[in-house]
Amino acid sequence: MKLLFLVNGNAKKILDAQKLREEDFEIVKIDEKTLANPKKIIEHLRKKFDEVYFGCISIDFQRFIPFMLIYILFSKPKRGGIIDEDGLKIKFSIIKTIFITIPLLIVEFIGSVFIVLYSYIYYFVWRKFKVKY
Amino acid sequence: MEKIQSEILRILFWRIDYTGALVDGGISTTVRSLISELLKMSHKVFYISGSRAKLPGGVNSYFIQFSRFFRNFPEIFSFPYQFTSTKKGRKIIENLLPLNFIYQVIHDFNFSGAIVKKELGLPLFLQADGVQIWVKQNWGKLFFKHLLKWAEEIQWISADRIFTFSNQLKNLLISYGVPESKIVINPCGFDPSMFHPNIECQDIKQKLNLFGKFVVGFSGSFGYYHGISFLAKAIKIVSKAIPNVVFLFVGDGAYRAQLDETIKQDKVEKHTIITGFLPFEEVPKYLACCNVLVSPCINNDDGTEFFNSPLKNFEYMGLRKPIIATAVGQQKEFFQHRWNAYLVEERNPQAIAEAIIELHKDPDLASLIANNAYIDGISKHTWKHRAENLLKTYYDLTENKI
Repeated sequence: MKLLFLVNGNAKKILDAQKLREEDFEIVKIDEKTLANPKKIIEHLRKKFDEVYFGCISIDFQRFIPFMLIYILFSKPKRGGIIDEDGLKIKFSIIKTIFITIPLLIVEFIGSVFIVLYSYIYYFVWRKFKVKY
Repeated sequence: MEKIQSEILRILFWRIDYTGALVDGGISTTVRSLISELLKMSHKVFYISGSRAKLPGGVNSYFIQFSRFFRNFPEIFSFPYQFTSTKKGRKIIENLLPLNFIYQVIHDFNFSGAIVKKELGLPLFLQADGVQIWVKQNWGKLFFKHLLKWAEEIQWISADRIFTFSNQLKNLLISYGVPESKIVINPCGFDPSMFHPNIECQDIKQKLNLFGKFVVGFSGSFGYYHGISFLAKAIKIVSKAIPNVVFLFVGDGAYRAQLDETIKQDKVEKHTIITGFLPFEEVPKYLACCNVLVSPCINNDDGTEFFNSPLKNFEYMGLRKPIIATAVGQQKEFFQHRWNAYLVEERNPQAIAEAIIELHKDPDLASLIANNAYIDGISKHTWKHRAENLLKTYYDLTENKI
């Protein structure tokens, strides 16, 4: 049995686009907010599955993909990926996740700190000096 | 009104919110419907967005992509887009000039419309479907309160007019410092060519096995304020009185899991169908199969009134179906009990169930409500009325400036 976390989109469309059989899957409907709740996700990952997938309408527009890959890394089978309605797929790889995805996420975090600091100055200047009631 | 019909305007709709690949939903429908009506009046419409969009033909659309790198941490995602959307938006707009006005849907942390207005001097209309600070504090998480507060204040100050959906939302905006004189109420509406009483739905009835059933319908995204859990709890009560009842939930959303749980606990699976998200064009057919339609919205937990303007209410009106609605917010302003809707107490499954049972027993009352709702809808609540209100606001503004 395989597990599909349906983040958004239509499960049938996603599985058809990937040429996967619906009857091989347990489908769990989640939303992006659920991804921020590891307890809920891990609850499902503890069950025995052969592969774990996250499904969405479009990988190109999907946020939080690194976190999905990290969840798969912590799953028992460590196999699966991210799949979408257009037939696109990000295949899970332990090596890529550890050596590319996670380091990039750390770089994103560091970059985010700078962006937030810059935004504080920029927004403050606009609010205090550039617009008036 | 003559002016509305005679002058061809050049209007820019600018969306700065991220809906990703989702092309349907309340705000998307609102924007798309306003655009459609403006096009029907022969105005020229341009559209800028960072997400996928389903637009009517004849709109020149421009895409300003969100950062593919900074999109994994909540809220931070919006900051690079503030800078990108301002820079690229300004360039696009400079090439589109002359424009009569910009219509922008407010979103977290983004005041690009305000900057472009200041630099290019174009009238700026904002659509506020909530106060972002309130929304995040009550329905989500807020990490950068000051930044959000400043961004919203910049937008309130810069906008020429702020369109909002209801009196309740107007009051909320005023309580957060928005000048009352800038607020224009423009509720949601419906398209009578899509939602009308003569929709053929035999194929859906066949597909869902609805022949001979009494069908109670709901449509929408399953948000907290839609009160869907209270409707779910009414299924058990109604099914005892009307054994052939089926509750048809058209939609999906965050509270789907809670809905599934209630249905399972109450063992009413055979009385329930949940369609999941459907393309917007398919929704009318599903609702046309229903005998009664329900809008069980609830007031907010912090004591503020329900402030939305549910699209579903207007669509239900257009379909000429008997409506059951909770007596909250705009619903109690637009609906009169036993006249154009059956109003019930909010958060009360028993009251919802009793209303369904009464309308099942009394087809004359059901028919009276359906007819009155339809007449009301078609005469006051179509998207054409809303687009005309938008244009009237523009002309009032420009005349006042002269």
